[in-house]
Amino acid sequence: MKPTRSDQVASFLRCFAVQGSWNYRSLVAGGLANAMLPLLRRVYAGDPVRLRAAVERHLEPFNGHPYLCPMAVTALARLEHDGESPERIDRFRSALRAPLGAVGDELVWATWRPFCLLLSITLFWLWGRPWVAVGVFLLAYNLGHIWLRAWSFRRGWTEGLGVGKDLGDPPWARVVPWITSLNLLLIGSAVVLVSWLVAPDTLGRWGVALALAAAALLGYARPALGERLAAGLVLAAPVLLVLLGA
Amino acid sequence: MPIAVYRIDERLLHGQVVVGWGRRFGIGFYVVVDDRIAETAWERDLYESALPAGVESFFLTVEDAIGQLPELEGRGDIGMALTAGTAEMRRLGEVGLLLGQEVNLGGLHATEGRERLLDYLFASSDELQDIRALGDLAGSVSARDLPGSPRVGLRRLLKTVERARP
Amino acid sequence: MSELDLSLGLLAALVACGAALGLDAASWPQVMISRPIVAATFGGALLGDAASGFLVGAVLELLGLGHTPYGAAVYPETGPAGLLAGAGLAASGGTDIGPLLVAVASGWAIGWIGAISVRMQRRLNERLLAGGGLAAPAKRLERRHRLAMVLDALRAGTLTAAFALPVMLLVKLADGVSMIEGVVAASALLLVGMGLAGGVGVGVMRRRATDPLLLLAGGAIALAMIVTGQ
Repeated sequence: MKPTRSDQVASFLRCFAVQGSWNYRSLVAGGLANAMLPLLRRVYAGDPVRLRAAVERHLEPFNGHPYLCPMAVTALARLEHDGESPERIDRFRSALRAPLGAVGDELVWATWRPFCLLLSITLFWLWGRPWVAVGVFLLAYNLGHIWLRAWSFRRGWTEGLGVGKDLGDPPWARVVPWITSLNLLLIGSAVVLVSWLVAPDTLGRWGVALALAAAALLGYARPALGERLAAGLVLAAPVLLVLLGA
Repeated sequence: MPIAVYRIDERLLHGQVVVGWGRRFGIGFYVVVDDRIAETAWERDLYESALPAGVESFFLTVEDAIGQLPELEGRGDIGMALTAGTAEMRRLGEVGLLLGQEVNLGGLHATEGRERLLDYLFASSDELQDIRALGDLAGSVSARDLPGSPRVGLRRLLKTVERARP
Repeated sequence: MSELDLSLGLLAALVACGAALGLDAASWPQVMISRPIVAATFGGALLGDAASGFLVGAVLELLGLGHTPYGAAVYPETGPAGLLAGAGLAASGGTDIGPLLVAVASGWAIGWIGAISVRMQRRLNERLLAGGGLAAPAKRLERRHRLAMVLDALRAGTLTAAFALPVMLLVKLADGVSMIEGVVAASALLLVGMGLAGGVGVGVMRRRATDPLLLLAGGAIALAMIVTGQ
């Protein structure tokens, strides 16, 4: 049987908890199967044996970006509904992990989230109002977030096996390179602005500028070293502070 | 260095690889060595859709890879070669393709018969044999999920297993 | 130095907030109230100074920009960490460099301690979902899945409760230390650290020939904004 509107709503809401039982053995499989249940219960209504087999299939290891997992939920439910063979479902499921992880990580974690965060920091510098900055961040970020979940949930059911087309040429493909470039501008400015906000008057404008330039160059050339140094310095600073102050 | 990393990762092209490694090293092409995927069009399409625009991919059977990898090594941009299992990588090593190369163990999931080496790395006894063999066939073998994570060397990995088996 | 006033009600509010922020990071619903700028602003607001909270959150944000949750990678848990860093700074009653530094360092450290607790939780989830019989009846899967989320919230709440008082006392201590050379040296350290972190952030961006130019342009625009704004 085809899932009803209310099955879909229930499944979509459960997608927000897709990482709720994240673990190192099956990764998000528990959350995936949990979100698929309202759909599977309808597809296999009156057939507990096949329902059980399907749930067990989807408890096998799975991973993907959480905001794109709705696409896996509906595309896999669609395959179950269409009566595809378990072997084909398994192969589709393994291959699907690739784009769901890569496309989502690239779009959300590496592009959209830093953009919204950096924008918020810039707004705080401009207006000095923390709630405006936080509000703009949460609103802008989540408009994109919820839209992406809804889009992937819809496309998964419509396309089934063919979701690769959507993921290979997604609606945001042309915007992402621009945001990436904008992010670099925003990082450059946010580092300066925040440093300025926290720097005490005693250090002087040129001292701040020089320290930043040197640090940013080093950080750009050697990111891994940069991170370890930054963490070490931040942790060492309070100790030094107390020693010098005492 | 044309092919910078040879990686064993069940998930092949996914977020850690394409974004984590791809962005850090500016990877221009991926070579996926897998007999089954090389011969199934819809699976190739799905994996290909994981790549950002402008990045190339080659899906080769192990036999084809042995013939074509030396040629791909001659490209001007940086590449990454991926296999889903240890056996395929061992085959590449046995024909001398991994001499002086870094083999990266990036992800093998927990299944029946595999034991835990790291949170992201589980291996069966056959796979452990392959990994040991790779130690002789490649320049170096180590585990690391992301470029920024600590690198765990072969000797320490094997020690974990020996400790678990009294 | 004023007295540190941490009532039981305030502590309860912090713990509840920490539990919700911890749950948001990965389990549910991932609307990113767990980011440092949001969490630290909450923490600051609870202690009566949202702006200080935001500031310490922004520093933590820049430090953590390079850490992204790809696959099963380990990354700092920013919710409770940001909350307590923001609360600590607001409680000290100002944004002097000394308390700010200690607040940032505490946030950074709790973030990584949080990461360890998340890892333990995920190992525990392995056991919750292990073994057959989860699918029959499927209600068992639903119960275990919910239980994992409840435990995650409890974990984050406990983490918050454990570090609330120590962080506030530590930040407060830094407020009492008076120093001149110390300020200069420490702020230079912080600046360098943040600049480096900016570089780390670049690590997650695409590497193109124009990248450094864009970064420098951003820095130049910011300097121009500062100079004209004064």
